[in-house]
Amino acid sequence: MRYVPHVPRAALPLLPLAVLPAVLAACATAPRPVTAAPMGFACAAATPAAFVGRGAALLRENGWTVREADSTAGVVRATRGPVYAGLGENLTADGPYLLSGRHDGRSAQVAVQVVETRQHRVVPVENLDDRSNDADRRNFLPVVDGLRAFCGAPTSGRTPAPRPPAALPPGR
Amino acid sequence: MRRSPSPAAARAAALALAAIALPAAPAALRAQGLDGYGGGPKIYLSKDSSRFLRVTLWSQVWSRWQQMNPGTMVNNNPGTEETKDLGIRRTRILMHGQITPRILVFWIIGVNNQTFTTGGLQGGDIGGGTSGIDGKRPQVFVHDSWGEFTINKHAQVGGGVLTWSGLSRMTNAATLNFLMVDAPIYNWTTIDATDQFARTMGLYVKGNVLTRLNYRAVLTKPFAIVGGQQGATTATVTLPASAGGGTATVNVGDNAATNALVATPARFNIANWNPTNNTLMPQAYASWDFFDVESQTLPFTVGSYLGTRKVLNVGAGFQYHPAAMRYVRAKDSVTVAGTRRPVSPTEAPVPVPAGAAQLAPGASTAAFNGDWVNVPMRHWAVDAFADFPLNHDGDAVTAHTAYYDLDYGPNYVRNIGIMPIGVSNPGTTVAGPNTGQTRFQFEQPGFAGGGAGYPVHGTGNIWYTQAGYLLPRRMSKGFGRLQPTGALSVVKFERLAEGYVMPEVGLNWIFAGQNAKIQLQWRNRPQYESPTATSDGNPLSAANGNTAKYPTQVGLRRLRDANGRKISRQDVIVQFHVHL
Repeated sequence: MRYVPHVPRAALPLLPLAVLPAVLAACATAPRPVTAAPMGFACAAATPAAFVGRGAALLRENGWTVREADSTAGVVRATRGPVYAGLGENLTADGPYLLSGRHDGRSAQVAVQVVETRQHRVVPVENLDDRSNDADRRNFLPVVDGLRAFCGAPTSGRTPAPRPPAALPPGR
Repeated sequence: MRRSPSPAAARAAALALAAIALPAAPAALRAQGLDGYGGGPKIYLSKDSSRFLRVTLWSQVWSRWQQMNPGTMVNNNPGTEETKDLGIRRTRILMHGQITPRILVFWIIGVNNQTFTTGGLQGGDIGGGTSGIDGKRPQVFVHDSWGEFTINKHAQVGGGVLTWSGLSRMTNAATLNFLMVDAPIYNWTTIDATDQFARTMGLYVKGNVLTRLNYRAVLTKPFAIVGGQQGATTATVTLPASAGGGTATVNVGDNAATNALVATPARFNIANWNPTNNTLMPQAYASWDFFDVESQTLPFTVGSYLGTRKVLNVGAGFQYHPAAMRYVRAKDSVTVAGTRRPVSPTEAPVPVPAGAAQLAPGASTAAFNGDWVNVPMRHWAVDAFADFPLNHDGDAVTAHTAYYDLDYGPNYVRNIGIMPIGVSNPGTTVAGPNTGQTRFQFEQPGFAGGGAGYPVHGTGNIWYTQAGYLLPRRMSKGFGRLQPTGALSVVKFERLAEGYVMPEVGLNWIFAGQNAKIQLQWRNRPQYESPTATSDGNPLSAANGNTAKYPTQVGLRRLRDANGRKISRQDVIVQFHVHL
């Protein structure tokens, strides 16, 4: 006689929990790092050294930590974050972010990435493309647009303009 | 064959490792709080700041002027028309620990709703211990206590005493950044009935899929309802000479007059909470973000970003609790003393189901002319939220709208007054003008009882909308920011013959983002006629004709004055809010 397992009706709401081990097992597979696709733009007006100098300055102004600035090789690399913001009881934690800029004498290439620390700790997953979320863009764009402007390339147009300094009282 | 990582990928991974391994000062993004506040006070447990203990403290103190409901007694003063008071709406400590990047532990303890007359610990008075409940020594309790494991960004699982809920955005609302002074309470559909101050014990899975879709699915075990536990708390009070002296037995305690969760219905077909419930409650909520994707690290949804984010989302959710409610349905006929007779739906349950019959459906006497029927609680809701910086001079708009379709079983309505300070006038009677008649010594309350409650939950539907405009910086001359707000509730419940539209208007004076602010709010509460005590000042009895005049408990109408105008009551609340 064929055995038919009996599941009490009261246990039915718990059935979705049965898929949890499968989900856990599926997620235990280590993902491969995703290569960042750098954004390229013409930058013939600037030398590699000037590009690196301007890039390092922009990065520091925007709260990044410059890890490498090689004027000879035309390479600048920096990290930022994680960036925490309080939302009442809630919290956002964006980043850490990675930025890598390279100048080959004629054009520049900039790659930006996000490390998802809550997912296997080392997973650069996003470039500055349509998949980037707005929180990420807020961290990337001031630097990337600054480099584009420096090279005379079109910017995203989404970097907020810096607030003008408050006018000093008359007589001072 | 497994593909080897490319040199570019290897370089990216190396830099990522460097970013995590090297000491880095955690940066702060401009948020809705004080500049530089970042995520609040933290103790970092690792150099890369991925492991930390975060602590948040807050206090919300209310100063109120309230017109009390008709028939209200405040601190043994029958017939109190209005009251000015101060109270602690919330004072709490939050601890959020990130043990590893994958493991989160969360805890909130605190106190709520302490007033000068209510919210204290039972029997906590010094001396004779006769008052039962007063406003002193409120009980600190654990609100949230849960842990979470991150599988990936698509799924995180956790369990404990949870704020994580389904149904709507505001069912998961943060309390630190409300647009209005408080939530409308419609959003917390089981508040302190089968939950513990909007928390329940359960398991959840939540996450983000398709980049812009946040979801949360929760399976909870709702708290049991003990038969009449809160409505049964009474005390004997001495009446002042101006009120005729003597003593009276009155309901006391937190929301006593309005919180009789399993009060025995005196009529058929009125549902209330089932004190024998033993089922699980699935619930879920999902939202789609069109611009910024909102954080779902913790369950608490933001009330106003003050223009620091560009957010537009729509969401939908549900709650389903099998056998959560029950009511008495009239039998077709009943046999009493050997005689079979039909049962009219307009008659009262006889005998009144109480005691064992109340706790054990079906255990009533053979003469009982009704049947206990268990029904599920079924709610669904859709909502939308928007917060946009206008980029003129720091001004921003915030708007939220939600439609709730609530089903608690037939004719269920629950009256709620936040931080109640009043109870119903004593129901003592004195001789009436005619022989054999009696009249109430004091004015008797309407449907919501004494205090400041009004119908908040019920079987029916609610449309709630709130909006605010953060004024440009120049308009506050650099001293804080101003945010006028408004809300409108359109409510229609099955038991009420007339729905209500409740306007609320407010102003937020924001000193340090959401960290320090003063909020002002005015509200106009509806009043409904009493289903039992009648509206004409006389008891329900055959002698005075009120048994025929007030035949049912359903189809309740708005209270009206002698000119036929609807009676309402007003509140003005000023909230002093600080959080670190």
